[in-house]
This record gives sequence, structure tokens and C-alpha cells, in this order.
Amino acid sequence: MSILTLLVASLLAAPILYLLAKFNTKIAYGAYAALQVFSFIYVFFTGRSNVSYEVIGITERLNFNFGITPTNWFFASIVLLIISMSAIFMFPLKKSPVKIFLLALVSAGTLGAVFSQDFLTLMIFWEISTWASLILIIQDKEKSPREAIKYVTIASIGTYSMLFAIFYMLDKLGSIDFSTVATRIESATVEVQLVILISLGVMVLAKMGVFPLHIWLRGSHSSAPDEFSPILSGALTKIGAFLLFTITAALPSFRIFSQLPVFNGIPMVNYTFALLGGISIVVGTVMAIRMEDAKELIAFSTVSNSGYIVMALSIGGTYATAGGLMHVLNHAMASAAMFMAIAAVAYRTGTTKMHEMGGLILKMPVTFATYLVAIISVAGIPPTSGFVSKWLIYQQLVQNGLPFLAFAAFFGSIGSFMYVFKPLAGIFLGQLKPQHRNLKEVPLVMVVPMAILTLLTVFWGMLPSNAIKTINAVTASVGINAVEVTFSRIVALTGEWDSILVTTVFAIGFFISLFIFMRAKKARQVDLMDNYTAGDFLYTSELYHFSYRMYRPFDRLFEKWPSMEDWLSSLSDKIKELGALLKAIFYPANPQLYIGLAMVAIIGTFWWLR
Amino acid sequence: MNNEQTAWERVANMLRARSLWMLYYCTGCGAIELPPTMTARFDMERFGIGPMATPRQADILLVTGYLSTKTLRRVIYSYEQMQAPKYIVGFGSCTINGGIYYDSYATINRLDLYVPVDLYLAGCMPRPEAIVNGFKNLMDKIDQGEATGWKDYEANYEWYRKNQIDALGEVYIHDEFHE
Amino acid sequence: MIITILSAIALLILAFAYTVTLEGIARKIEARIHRRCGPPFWQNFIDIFKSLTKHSISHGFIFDFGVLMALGGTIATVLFIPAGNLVVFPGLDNVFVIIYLLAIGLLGMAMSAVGSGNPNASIGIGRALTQMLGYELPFMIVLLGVFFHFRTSSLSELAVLQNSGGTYNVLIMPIGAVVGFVSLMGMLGKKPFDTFIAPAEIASGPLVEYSGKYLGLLMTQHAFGTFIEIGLFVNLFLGGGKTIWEFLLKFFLVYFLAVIISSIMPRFRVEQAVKFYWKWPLILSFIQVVIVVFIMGRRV
Repeated sequence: MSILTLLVASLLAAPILYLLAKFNTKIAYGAYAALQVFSFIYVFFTGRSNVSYEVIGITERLNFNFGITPTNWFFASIVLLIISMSAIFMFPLKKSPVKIFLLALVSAGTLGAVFSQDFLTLMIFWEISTWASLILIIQDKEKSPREAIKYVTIASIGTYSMLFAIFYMLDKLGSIDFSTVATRIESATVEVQLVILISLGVMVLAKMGVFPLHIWLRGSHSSAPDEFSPILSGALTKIGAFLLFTITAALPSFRIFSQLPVFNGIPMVNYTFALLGGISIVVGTVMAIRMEDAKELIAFSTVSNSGYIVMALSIGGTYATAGGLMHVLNHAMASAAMFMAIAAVAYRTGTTKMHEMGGLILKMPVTFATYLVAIISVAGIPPTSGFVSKWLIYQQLVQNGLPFLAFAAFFGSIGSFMYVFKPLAGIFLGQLKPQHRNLKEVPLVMVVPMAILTLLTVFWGMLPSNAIKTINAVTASVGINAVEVTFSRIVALTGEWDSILVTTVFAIGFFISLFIFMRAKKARQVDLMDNYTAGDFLYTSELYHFSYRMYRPFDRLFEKWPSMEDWLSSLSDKIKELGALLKAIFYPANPQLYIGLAMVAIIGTFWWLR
Repeated sequence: MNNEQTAWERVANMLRARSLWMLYYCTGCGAIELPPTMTARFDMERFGIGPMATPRQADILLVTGYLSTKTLRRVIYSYEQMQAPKYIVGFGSCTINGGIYYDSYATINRLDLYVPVDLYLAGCMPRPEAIVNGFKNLMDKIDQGEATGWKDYEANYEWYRKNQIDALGEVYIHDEFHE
Repeated sequence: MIITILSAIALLILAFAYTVTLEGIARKIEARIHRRCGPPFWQNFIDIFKSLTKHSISHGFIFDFGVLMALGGTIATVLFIPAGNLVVFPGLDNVFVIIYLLAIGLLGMAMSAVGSGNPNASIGIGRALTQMLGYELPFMIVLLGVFFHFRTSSLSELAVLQNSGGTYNVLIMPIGAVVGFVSLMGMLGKKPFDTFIAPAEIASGPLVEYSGKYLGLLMTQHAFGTFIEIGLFVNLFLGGGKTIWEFLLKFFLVYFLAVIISSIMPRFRVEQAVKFYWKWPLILSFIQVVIVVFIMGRRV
């Protein structure tokens, strides 16, 4: 058994599962989940230590190169963890044969992409999963096709750019696999290096949803089927991080561009990418705060967190690389957990609009806990794993002295309190809607994956050294210094972080307050309807739930800001107008004239190319 | 009523007497006397008395002046939202006997039929000096454990309830806009 | 171990007693500015203990849990603040850790308040979080300059370095210190940045449903929070203290300044506050950090 067998098996699984689902969807979904869990376990436990490569030859110069290196293993474990958890999670939701076919294709493509050792293999498998996910997005909801067009447009910008990079590499360097390119690119001219890395970088920006190619995330994440959003946000965007890590750390862009202008120890190209990451942090945060739909909000938080990853990996250096990789792990788990929690809520209530819900905490306690831990991680509050990555990124920002990037990082971090709190308040806290009085917690099958992700988040928050050691192995394989860790401490430039101590101190503080709380007179339990109303009487609880436009004053600050979507849609209107004009002028009434015009065009072209 | 206090209660009462947070129910004209009482001239804060925004936090419910049947309902609701130990101060003569509009169909004439009043400040209006003096008396009463209106209300709840319903009548439509 | 525990207890008691006393003194100072007499300086102790003796209501699990989380998180944070030579965890008192640990308290408070189901509380929390985005940004950017200059973010080390260097940060980075102070006013929720607890407008915002012991615990939490915030400023910009007394004196001076400024100020609307923070303090903080990074460089 090898990676290749696994890959072939999961590719073949797609049509088989489709046929199986024609007979019985339950068995097909079960088989899919079993396959995903198996591949996660297999990859996680066997791929850790051994480094191996496998090649399938197609033509003389064109091979599919796969391999397990620490980098591949790291990204593959994360992606497969998310996919396998979602595969279990989706069991009670709406099933269809087409969906399972596409889901299997997505997972097979993802698996191939994260184990690839050359750019073409990466791109081909990546495209398999992208196109499958594209069709998967439009399965459930009404508005989806329009959003899918946005996705396809942005994705194709990235794809063509990467395709161009691949041909360019074949032409100038004669090879497309990672290791050969890494050795040959250093001796190439600056123009060649710039063209290759920037066009690969465009692919990264497009697929991770980083400014200026971020507009597809809102629509496609929110209109995708609820069970697919965790995979889309937690797994598929992380392949972009894989490519980015390859070009910044494995190629590595630092050494290559060191002769270009260097800004605070960062080459100009890397700095530009980091700046784009910073802009997308700010844009994602501001937009997330203004959303009213929980899934759209998390989609924009994905924009912001992708910005963090791009920023950290582009800055490079010991701490930012480790922090960026850690953030890949954190954000994969946290965003998958958030999307799962919202999917669970939507499964019971049938809506994802925050102001249409409220007070679900006692009805869905596990979902609440999942969401709470996930947002604590996204906001970077200890003791969850989210703190560690942000902390490491800050260390690098301090070390290099980067105030403008730091502005973006701090903005995203503090702004994330605002946007993650909004669904918490809107959906889980506050007044319960009368129509939700009889809700129950979601079935156990949905609870288990949410609980696993939550526990993992807390585990790596309490013992980040465990994750950092793995990441050190990854960074060591590309020649970056390791972050110094002991069992409970991480030592960085500006200080130490002792997760066990901080957790203990927090627990002690909690028990001190619990002691005072218990000593004082016991409180009388009252209903949420028994509330201060300035003396007025309360009958309709849903009118007393404040969640719609919770940050209205903040919205007002940003109302006049230029919106990229408006700009693009007016541009498309203009193009349509131009088309209408051309049609009015040139579109002939009868076919003879049409053929005549075509002939003239062909002759003209022929004459010009002669 | 039993005035025996344990040592713990004595300490608690001492604290309660020195930190009184008021919620004022300013429906009547009496509220106009409060700003001078609170600000530089008479400075209520030196006794630890201060305004609070909500009934949950407050110790004293200050009913300043007239109550109609409509506002009495709110007073009772606010009083029941307050947390014991809680005290009511009836401010001005209208809370005692209905004042000059005593014969109106909508005027509540005697406040202590409906809620337990711990202290009345008589006068129309009581001057700030009278208010400060009244509060000093209330503080002494609390200190000695004599301000037990809230216990009284719990003990004789049926009686108060009956009076309240007699005065207010029943409410038929229950929604946000009617009551 | 024993010494750590003893100094932790000492620090907690000191933080509680000193800050609550200062809050009482602040009321006295404010009264004097209004030409009043003002309450005795121990008034805030009476208020807290009285609240703990009162009856209270609870709106359910999250209402209780949030309060405990708020106080627990804040108590944990206090232990990382060095007070002169009273340092509980030397080397671990990283500023990023302190700021994020403080956020546990904030999150707990926010959950609990919104869990009460009162829209006034939600409005207050919304405002508090919005304002936080305003004041934290310039503050953190100034901090970046400080850490870059000293190559450490450990508070006790920063204090020692300033003392051994002979000058305080307030002299090395005066613009940053001013920005830090303005941000501190926002952190403390002093006027003009107290819109999230506006009592007359949204019925004291997050605190609207708290009664009895809940209010007492939150007042304690507020006192600890004040200690942390001013302690941060004193250690970062005024060199902490060689002894505990020096620290307490500087602490008093900073608090005094904040109180007298706040007592003559009206209140900003929340978007005005955010706009203000994103205009002058942010620009000044960028100027300061650019000076530090590109002109002054690192400390040798």
C-alpha cells in the first residue's frame, strides 16, 4: 500500500460511490466517510517518518511526481483531517448521488495535490478538486449559479497564471518538479525568476482568497451546501498555503530575491505579497463585521485568516514561518468547526441569518461549545491553539520591525473579537425565538466530529509544543531554523510562552472567583423574559433580541468605502453595454451578410499573419 | 417583627446603610429637587448615596410624586425586579395622601397600600435639606435593622397583591402594544 | 514554588486593596473638582462588600459562567503584572500574553452580559468591542516600537532595562507615551471614552442585569482590570519601579492624571471615539514607530 494506491483508490471511488448512491445513499455516504477516515489515519500514522517518492511516467519529460516529505505530510494530515471530519459530519444532511460523486472527486483531487512533487501534478489535481467543488457549490441553493461564476472567473485567473508559469518554467528551466526548479532557478535571470514566482503567486492569491482576488469567497462559501463549506474553507484554501510555502520556503524566494531591494530584511516581492496579505486581513475583517449572514461572515473571516497565512509565510524567518504553518493548522480546524456549528444550527433551524435565531445555547449546548472554542481560537485567545500562531507571527513582526504589516495583523486580531462575537450573540445567546422552543441537539454523528475538532484545538492550545515540534521538522526540511520549545514552553525573540502555567493560573483564578461565588447568597433563577425594560412589560421575546446590525456605528464608518464588488459589477455592465452597441452596429439581419463579415475577418487575419 | 440581628447581619446592615444606590421613579414634579441634592450644594454622594441606572443594581426605589394607575403598574414591576434588601422612599405629600389631585379617578392616593414604604418624605416639595435629613433617618433605620419593608412585602404578599389588583383591574390584551 | 504562591497572594491583595482605594480617592478627587465633599475614600470597599451581601438573580448558565470567566481571567492576568520588585513570574510576563489573557475576561463578560438577554447589554458590548478596535490599534503599534527597541516584551525586563538605562520610555519615546496614555483612557473606560457604559442612555450597558454578588464580582473584576491597564502603562513607559513603593507612586500619578482629565470631559459617541483613535493617535503612533525603527534603531 502506498500513496499512489490510495490516490487511485480514491479517484476510482468517485464513480463507484455514485453508482452505489443510486441504490442506497446511506451506504455510499458511509463508505465515503470510511474511506476518508481511513486515508487520514493511514497518512497520519505512516507518513510521519518515512520520506518516499513515486513517479508515474506519461511521456519522456512529463511525469506525475508524488512524494511524502514532512511538508507534504503536514499539509496532507491537516487537509485529510478536515475532510474526514466533514465526511462524518455530513451523514444526516441532504444526500444525493451527484453530491457524493463530486465530494469523492474533491477529496481525491485534494489528496493528489498535497502529495505532488511537481507543479503540473499539483495543478492537475488541484483543478480536479476545484472543478468538482465548483459544481458542488451550485447543488443546494438558489443564488448559487451567479456565485459559481465569480468563483470560476477568479479560479481561472489563477489557473491560467499557473499554467503560464509551468510552460515558462519548462521553457526556461527545463523542469517543473520542485527540487529541480529550486536548484535551477537560482542561476536564472531576475526577469525569469520574477515572472515565475509572481505568476505562481497569483494562483496562491486566487485560491486562498486574498485581496484583490477575494471576492469569490463570500458567495461560494455561503451558498455552498452546508456540509461542503467546512471542506471549502478548511481544506481547499489550504492547498494554496501549500503552494505558497513551496515557493517561499522550498524554492526559496528569499534567497532568490535577495539582490532585489530589501525592506527590513524582506525582499520586495515577498513584501508585496505580505502587504497584499495585510490588506486582505483588513478588508476581510471589516467586511466580516458588517455581514448579517453567519456563513458570509465566516467566509470573510477566511479572507482575513488567509491574509494572515500569506503574510506570515511571505515574511518568512523562523517565527513567521512556524507561525504561518501553525496558523494553517489552526484556521483549518477553527473555520471547519465554525462552519460545522453553523451547519448544525442550519440543520435544525433552516436558516443561517443571525437575526432569525437566538438563545439556542441551552437547546444545542455541544454546538455552542464547538463554536465558542473555535471563535476563541480565531480570536487568538489562550488557551487555544490560535494564540500560539498569532504570537509567533507577532514575534517576527517585532524582530523585523514592520509597523505597517503589524497594523494589519493587530487590526485582524482585535477586529476578530467583533466579528466572531456577532454569531455567538445572535445565534446562541439572547432571547429564544418561539418557533425554536422544541429544538434538540443535532444527532451524535454530527456531534462527534465537532467535539473532536474542539478537543484538538484545546489540546494544541494547552500543549503547543507538540504541534511546534512537528512544524520544526517541516521547517528543518527546507532549511529554516527551528523554534525553541520545551514540554510546556515556547521561547521566542521577545519572551516566553508557558501554556501549562497560564492555563493553571487561569484555572486558579477561576476557582477563586467560583469560591467567592459559592460563598455568597445563592442566586434566584429567572427567565430571560424577566428583564430590565425601563418599567415596560415584555410579551414578545423576539423583539427584545438585539442582533440585527449589532455594529451599526461601526458600519457607518465604512459606508462610504469603495466596494470592489460594486466596481466589478459596474465594469461588467459597461462591457455588456459595449457588447450591445457592437451588436447593434455589426449584427446583420440576414445570414449572408453575417457569413460575408466572417469571411472578411478571416481574410483580414490571414493577410495580417501572412 | 423580630429585631434580633446576628453579628453577620449587623455587619451587612452597616454596609448597606453606608452604600445606598437609588433608582428614581421620576413621574412627578418632585424630581426637580434631586439635582440640587446630588450636586455641589448638598452633595448626597458623601453619604454613599448615588444614582443607579437599573432596578437590578439599586437599593432604594425613590417614588417622586404622583402615581396614576398606569404608572403604579410600572412601579410595582420595577420594585419586584429589585433585589432584596430593598427600600422604598415615598417622596412628597402626593405619595401619602394623593396631594391636590387626590380626587381624580386615576390618582393613587396611598402608596403603602400597594408596596411597602420604608420612609416618607413629607412636603410639597420637600426641600433638599429635608431629603438629606430623610435619608439620614433611613440610614439609621437600616443600620438598626428596622427597615424591613421587603420582608414585610414577602410576608404579606397576598394582601398587597389584592390591593394592587383592586386598584389596577385586570389587563385583557397581552402583547407588545397593549397590556 | 512557595515564594511564587506567597508573592501571587500578596500581589492579588495589593492589587485589590490599592486599586479599590484609588477608585475611592478618584471619586473624592472628582467631587473636589465639582466643588463637592465626596464620599469617604473607603466607599468602594463598602459598595463591593455590600453588593456581595445582597440577593441576586441569574439568567442561566452562561450568565454565571461568563462572570466567573471574566473574574478568573482577570485574576490570572493580574499575576503577570510586575509591581516594582514584586514579580510573580519573572520572564513570563510577556505583554502579548497579558493583552490576550485580558481578552478572556472581556469575552467572559461579553458572553455573560449578552446571555442576560437584555438588548441594552448587547448594545453596550457592541460598543465596547468597537471602541476596543479603536484604542488597541495605536497602543499595539507603539508597543511594537518599544519591543523592537528593547528586543523584549517581558514587562519586568522592560522595567529593569529602563531603570538601568537611566531614562524612562516616556522620555525616549514621548509621542508613543502620549498615544499610550490616550489609549489607556479608552481601556479604562474613562470619559470621554465611556460610551459603552452610558448609564442614562443604555442603562449602564453590559452591567444592566447584574445584581448583588454578580455586581460585586464584576466590580472586583473592574478593579483588577484597572490595575492591569495602568500597571502596563507604568511598566512600559515609566520604568515600573525599583521598589514596590515607587511603582505604587507612579501608578497613583498616572491614575490621578486620567481621573482629572476624565472628570472635565463630555462623552464621545462610539464612532466618534473610533474615528478619533484612528486619526491622531494612530498617525502619531506610526510616526513614533517609524522614528524608532528607522532612525533610533535597536538599543545597544
